Amino acid sequence: MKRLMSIALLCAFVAASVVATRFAVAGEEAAPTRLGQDAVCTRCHDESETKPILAMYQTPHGVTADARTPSCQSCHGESAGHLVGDKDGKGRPAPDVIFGSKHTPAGYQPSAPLAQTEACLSCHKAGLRTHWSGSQHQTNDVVCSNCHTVHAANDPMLVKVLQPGVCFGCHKEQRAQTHQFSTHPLDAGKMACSDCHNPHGSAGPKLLAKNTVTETCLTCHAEKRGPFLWEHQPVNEDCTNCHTPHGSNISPLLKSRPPFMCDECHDGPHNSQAPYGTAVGGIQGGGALAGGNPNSNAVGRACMNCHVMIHGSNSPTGAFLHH
Amino acid sequence: MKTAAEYLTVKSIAIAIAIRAALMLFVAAPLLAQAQALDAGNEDVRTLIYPLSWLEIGVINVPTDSPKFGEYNGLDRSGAYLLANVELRGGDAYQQGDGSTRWQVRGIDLGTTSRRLEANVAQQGLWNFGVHFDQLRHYTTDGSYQTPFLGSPGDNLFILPPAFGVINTTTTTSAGVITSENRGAQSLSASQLAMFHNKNIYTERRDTGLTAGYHMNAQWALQFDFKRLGQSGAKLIGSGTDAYDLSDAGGFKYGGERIAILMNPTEYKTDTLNLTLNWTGRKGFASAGYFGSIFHDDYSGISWSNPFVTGGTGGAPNPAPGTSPGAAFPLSTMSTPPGNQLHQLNLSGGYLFSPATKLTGGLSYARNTQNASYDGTYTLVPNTAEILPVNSLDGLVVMTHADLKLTHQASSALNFVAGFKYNERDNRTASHEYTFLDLGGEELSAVNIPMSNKRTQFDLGADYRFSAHQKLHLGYESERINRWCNNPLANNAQGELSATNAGYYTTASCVQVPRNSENRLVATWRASLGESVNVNAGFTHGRRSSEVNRSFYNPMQANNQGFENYGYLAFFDASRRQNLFKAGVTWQATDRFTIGLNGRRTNDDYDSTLGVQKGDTSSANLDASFSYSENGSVAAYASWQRRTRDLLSASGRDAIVLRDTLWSNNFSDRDNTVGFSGKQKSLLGGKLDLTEEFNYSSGTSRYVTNLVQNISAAVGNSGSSPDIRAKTTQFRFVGAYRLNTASSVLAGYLYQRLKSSDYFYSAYQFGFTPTTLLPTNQQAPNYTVNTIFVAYRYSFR
Amino acid sequence: MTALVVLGFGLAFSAHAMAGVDAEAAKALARQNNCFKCHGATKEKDGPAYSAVAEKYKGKDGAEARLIEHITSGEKAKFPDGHEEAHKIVKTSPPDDMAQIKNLIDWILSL
Repeated sequence: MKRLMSIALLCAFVAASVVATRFAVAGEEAAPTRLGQDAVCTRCHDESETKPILAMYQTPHGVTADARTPSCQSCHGESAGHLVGDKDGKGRPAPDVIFGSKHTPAGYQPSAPLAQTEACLSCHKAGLRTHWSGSQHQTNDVVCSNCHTVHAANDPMLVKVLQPGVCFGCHKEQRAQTHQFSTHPLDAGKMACSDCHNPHGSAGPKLLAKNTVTETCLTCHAEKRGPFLWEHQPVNEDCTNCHTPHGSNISPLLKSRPPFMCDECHDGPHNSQAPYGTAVGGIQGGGALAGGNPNSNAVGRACMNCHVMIHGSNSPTGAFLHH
Repeated sequence: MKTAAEYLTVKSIAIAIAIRAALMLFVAAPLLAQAQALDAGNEDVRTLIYPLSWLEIGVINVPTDSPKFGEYNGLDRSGAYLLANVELRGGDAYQQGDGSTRWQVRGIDLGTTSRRLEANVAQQGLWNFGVHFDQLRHYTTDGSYQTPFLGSPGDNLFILPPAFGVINTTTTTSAGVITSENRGAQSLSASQLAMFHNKNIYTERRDTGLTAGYHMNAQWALQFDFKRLGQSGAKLIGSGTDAYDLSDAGGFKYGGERIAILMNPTEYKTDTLNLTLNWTGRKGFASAGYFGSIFHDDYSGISWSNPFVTGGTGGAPNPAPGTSPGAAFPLSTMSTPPGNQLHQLNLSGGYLFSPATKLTGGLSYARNTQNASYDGTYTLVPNTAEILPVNSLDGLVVMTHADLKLTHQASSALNFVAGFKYNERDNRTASHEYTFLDLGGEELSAVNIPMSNKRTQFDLGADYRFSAHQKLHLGYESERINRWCNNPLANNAQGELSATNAGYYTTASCVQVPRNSENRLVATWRASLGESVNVNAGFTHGRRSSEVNRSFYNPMQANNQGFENYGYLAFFDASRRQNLFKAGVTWQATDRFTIGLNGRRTNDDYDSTLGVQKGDTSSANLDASFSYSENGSVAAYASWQRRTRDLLSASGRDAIVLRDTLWSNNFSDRDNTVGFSGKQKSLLGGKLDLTEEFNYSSGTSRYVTNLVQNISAAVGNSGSSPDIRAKTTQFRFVGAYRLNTASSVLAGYLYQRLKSSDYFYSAYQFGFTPTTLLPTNQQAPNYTVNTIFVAYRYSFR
Repeated sequence: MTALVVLGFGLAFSAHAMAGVDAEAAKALARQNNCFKCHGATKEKDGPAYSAVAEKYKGKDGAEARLIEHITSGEKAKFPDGHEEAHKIVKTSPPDDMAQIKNLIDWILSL
């Protein structure tokens, strides 16, 4: 019974599309349906494919009622040679545009990066992709399909918990850093790389989403923005003077820790000129004075036991960042 | 005659033009006897084109208390937690007919404090609307923080009950060694110790927002989003206060620095608004928008009881430790972050002169203001803000940004890029002189120094493709940084100097390095060797020079320590030479097996006599993946990272002449990570899917100080710090078993172990603190957690 | 840990159990060799549907041998528009595994 129904549906579709085909070939007004256009390809590349190419119909690209959405040939090219087949015994010619960086199972080589990215940029050139040309990824021949999977119900790049895994395919250092002691919640799935970066190109450094490092960090950490009555110069200029955002062995996401971190910029005021070695370990680390009084300038938070307003202070008594 | 590469490029450019047209163009194809649309009756097709909705309900059992394990996932306490995840999708767009509506509801981890719930609906091409709620509770300690103060995380007033009694920090020393019985905070009385209690410290974010968009027509679209980020809870912070002398006839007499670790409240609200108007034309596109960020802090300051006194002698302290202070302890106060606002206008866009030549640019103008009252930010008794010239900062920082980039594909093999970026932070806040009582009871005057800076960058690049398989990129970048202060009071501020440094102030002050200039050369080479091997290598060389202000006054000191030693420069603006090398190779040995190796090394050499001398980083990464069947794959990786920094400093103070008492400090950080993951699908007759993941990460950091010349050894002033170590082991195993097309059962096991040791906590242990520091007994986080979860998933289309 | 035990060595059954034919392996081999690009299981594309092939060879002697010859020899196949191409030679892994080829043909004939 099911088979009869299938056959009946089949006939109905065939009839409809033959009619559509007829009209178009005759050059009359009726535009082909989007599905009819796709059928040029989905006739052979159907649900039996190993990759779920029909799943595209679940995505925004597959909303056939939206006139802007592409058909198969809009992105993969007219591919007349491929449609015609293997006429001269040398194998079926490749479609016009092959996406990716590896050859396909059938042995077709991927197209040049420019051809691949132009296929997407023809529609997606604005917004986040404004600075694509000349960006770090573009110069390194990264193409859209290296990261995005459009023939799937869910593009991992657009799912917060899955996105970092895609980026880590190339960015191995950052993958290792997300497993360190102090991190942003990337491994926990609460943040994704795109919360700070715009991989499509940006006006900021290192593909950051905003114009500068501080502007990017302050979108979530606005309490450090100020301006404060008493400022701390490295904070105004670049958060990464002290912090390393992907992961660190030193909490909270610091490159180094007091007193040594402070010693990298200060040598003169108060204890920044004093050397501390084993003293930082306190009595237990063997650095205390005999009689056992550790130096509060060296142990624990060291300088920051008292100089606590490290990002700046708005108290009239806070010129030394104590208050 | 066109080469293959040229043909491809020309063809690709032609395709780009044709694509828009192709959308409505029918491509002549052979008459298809069976041209058909999607056969929705076919089960396989149905599973592909109709969206899957699912609900997951389950329970996860955590047998161990560990806020560090639950740092971001909310599983901080032992017990059973509800697992609830949901994803629902629908809309007539999925019917492949005339409808273009799609909606989605998604919920993740709804049973924990790391939950997220979002819903959106859109009529594609016309409008979209969405709302979301995201919660994240960040546990910043492992639960071992103890405090005698009364008050909860999120409060801004922490009182010690008078019964706690004073802590007399008077000690008697002989030749630098403490000889007396009285050890202040190091030997608290039994009743004082009994008042310490645990507090679990976390700061929580709740983010609620909405987005909306509207397409006026094919070219114009409007996008709006609003987000309110509410934060609550606290983070630990140090605090400096004075010990007061009760025996002084005139009342309080302050001196010295006494420390307590407090729960600094993070009761904040940040509202973020984005409103953008987008235009997309055939060759050009532009976007104009407003970005606003308004930060509000519920408190202006944090106050706490000060139990520290001095008086008497070490052996006979007066008042005796534990004596009641009378009605109450005096209160000390410090500030919390002031409310501030940022309003920014943005303009960006691009123009395609031709498919080969593109221009993009942007402009940004922002005003950042802060005018929170100084009330509540300083200790009132005694009044530490003796002379307040104004009652609030009335601060204004104007930030401007401009960028322009031109790319030109001169031929299929040659590509050029030229870019310009400008960023300015112009601090227009006024300067005044403030007279106040600082820690140690000393009366000081200081002028606030509002700092400005601007950064101008140019870059030029060229890419040459030798063939489809080889490419070389060469680039030149230049960067100029200028720093200044806008008002004469800040520029001419000078501190008092001792006789040694007389004559130090000869020019205007404000910043130590008013100008930096850096040039960089970049070269990168990429090639494919044969079908299966890809290699790349890169080299960058940079030189930065600094113009140094020889009479720089450090605004943080208003006394005779207001400068750095002669010859010393902070690393971030010192002259330096930087070299960066990187290389990588990827070998796709077979269709199923790929292996890759890459590495990177940077060397920074600083030219300053004193300060950071060198900094190096090295890393190497090895990756392999193997898809042994259609349904199974495994992958493994290993990462090795090293970082070192060498510092040379002088002890003592001399702004005029290089000191000869020198010490050095070397920092090294070693991190190793290995991991393994696997996926098996359709086992047991197509019903069982398994995933496994294992990660091990080990980090070690260490500081070593050497007395280079003319500094006598003393206890603790040289040698190595104990290592800062953290080893994390993580193993995840999840299985999903399909009961039928709609139902599956999921189960999983997660093992996570952290072994860490950090000398940081040595300072805060009962009995081992400095005599002037109140203990917290915090421990380095260590945990071993085994969790199991079971869940039922129901899915439908 | 009980959950893991339950998920362990449980039932293994195949929905289309037919004597001797491993349908899943046959379909996997067909996918690897791109058979479905031209032959639908029930749908005609450039080549006949497998159900049509099964219909055509039902009850005929030597059907299996004939079809094995067809997919291993590279003989010419005729397309709907008239042109001819060499039929793709089915490759197995390990190479020339006749048992897999036979299984594939048997599955086709069973449709």
